[in-house]
Amino acid sequence: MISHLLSTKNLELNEALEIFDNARKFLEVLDRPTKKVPILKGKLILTVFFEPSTRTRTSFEIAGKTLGADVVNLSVSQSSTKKGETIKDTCLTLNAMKPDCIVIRHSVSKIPDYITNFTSAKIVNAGDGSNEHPSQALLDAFTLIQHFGDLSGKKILILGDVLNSRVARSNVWLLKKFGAKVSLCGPSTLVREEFEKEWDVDVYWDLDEAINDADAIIVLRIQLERAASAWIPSTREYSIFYGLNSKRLVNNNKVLIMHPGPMNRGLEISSEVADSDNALIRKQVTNGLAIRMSIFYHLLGHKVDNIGEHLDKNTEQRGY
Amino acid sequence: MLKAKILNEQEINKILHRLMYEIYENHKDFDKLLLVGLWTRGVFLSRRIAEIFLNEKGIRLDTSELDVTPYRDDLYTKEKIALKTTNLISTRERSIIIVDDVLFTGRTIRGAIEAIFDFGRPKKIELLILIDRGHRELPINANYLGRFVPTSSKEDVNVRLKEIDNVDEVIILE
Repeated sequence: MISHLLSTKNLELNEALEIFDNARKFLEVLDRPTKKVPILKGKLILTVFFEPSTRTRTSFEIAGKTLGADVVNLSVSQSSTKKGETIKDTCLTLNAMKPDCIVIRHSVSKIPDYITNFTSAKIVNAGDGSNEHPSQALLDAFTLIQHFGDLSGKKILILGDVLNSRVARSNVWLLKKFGAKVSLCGPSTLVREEFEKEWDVDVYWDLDEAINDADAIIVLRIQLERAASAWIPSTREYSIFYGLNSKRLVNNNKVLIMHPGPMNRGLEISSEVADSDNALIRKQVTNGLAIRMSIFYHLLGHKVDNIGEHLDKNTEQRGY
Repeated sequence: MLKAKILNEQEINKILHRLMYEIYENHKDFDKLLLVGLWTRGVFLSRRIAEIFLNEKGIRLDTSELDVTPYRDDLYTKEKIALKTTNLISTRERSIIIVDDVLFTGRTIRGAIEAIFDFGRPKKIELLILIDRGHRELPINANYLGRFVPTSSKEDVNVRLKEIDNVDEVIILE
């Protein structure tokens, strides 16, 4: 059983299914008149975001609070790192506050793995650089399974800035475990030819061809702060070649549309498509709450080892 | 190891009929009555009682299922427990009867009461139990009781129902 949620690459299929099973039960809690169950009463969850985020953090916060935990938010981008503190020191300081779980987002890949060495808390990766964003992938897969029942053989198209996207990576690893046929589409600067071999997926540079027999499309956000500067000539050109609009969907009007948010309407997705009946974008948000509740339950809702025991072991093994 | 068989299929059926008549005697407003079965076997018992009610009196009772796991007081001393369906409707102003198979320490029922209050302020809560095996650790007692079976704490009482165990019986294991 995993003790941290760091990636979907290392997540066993049966663990993902277990998280889904419980998430289905947690959806019910969100519809109650009293939206609270005391599963994590007295547990302390810290959300530590070194990169700005509103929705992911809010989702984790609501999930924790619905389970009765105390959730404290820290915006480290505005405080200690600016003053020169190392990530290790920040982590040891936070650990001294005795959290049971730390939800972390950082612009550098693998930082969540690294800090497991300096804290006895369970670590949840809420996005590390362009590496992984496992909770987003889990909620995407959960939403798809809600609709299709079974993902084996389903063609799931990931459209957009795959190169810089942690959502894309986590989704590729996870969806493949469910037997889905994962395809990527975007300009060749962002969807590299080598992905086809390295990730064992289909790569398309022509959107119409890619959409043709797709069962669902996960539209990625064009990260104006990253991709727009160098990888594409202009957002206008991108929109013409790879923007998803209703004209593109004429031959395949059954395809489901998902987007991790926030959307750039008119750039990677048109308003018409985003607001259509096939768009599951709002459902993703609600499912995100249930999935994150389930993740917390998975990591915290059972017998715990003596606090700090694994810390000594890790430090010895890895020689930090 | 099997020590004794306490009830067979016929006896269980008789007891459920008697308990149904006790409920019928004690209540007037059956629209306000709600049977809440606790996973796992309480759910099946509550469905059976509702069925007997329908057959005997032509009255259709509301039933709901409740998973007490999130309200357990021993969550952190156990391995992870898979959650089950909870589908409680509003409990506001309703007369609730919690239905479970075995009453032991009373801790599960405490959790169930807490859960029910999260769905609205009920008019009252009663408890229906098939087997009371003693050893209470909380001030909780059954309003409708199938049978009192004094046990030692080493023994284990098993209620088996056709719906999941393929047989109707109550046995004591040692």
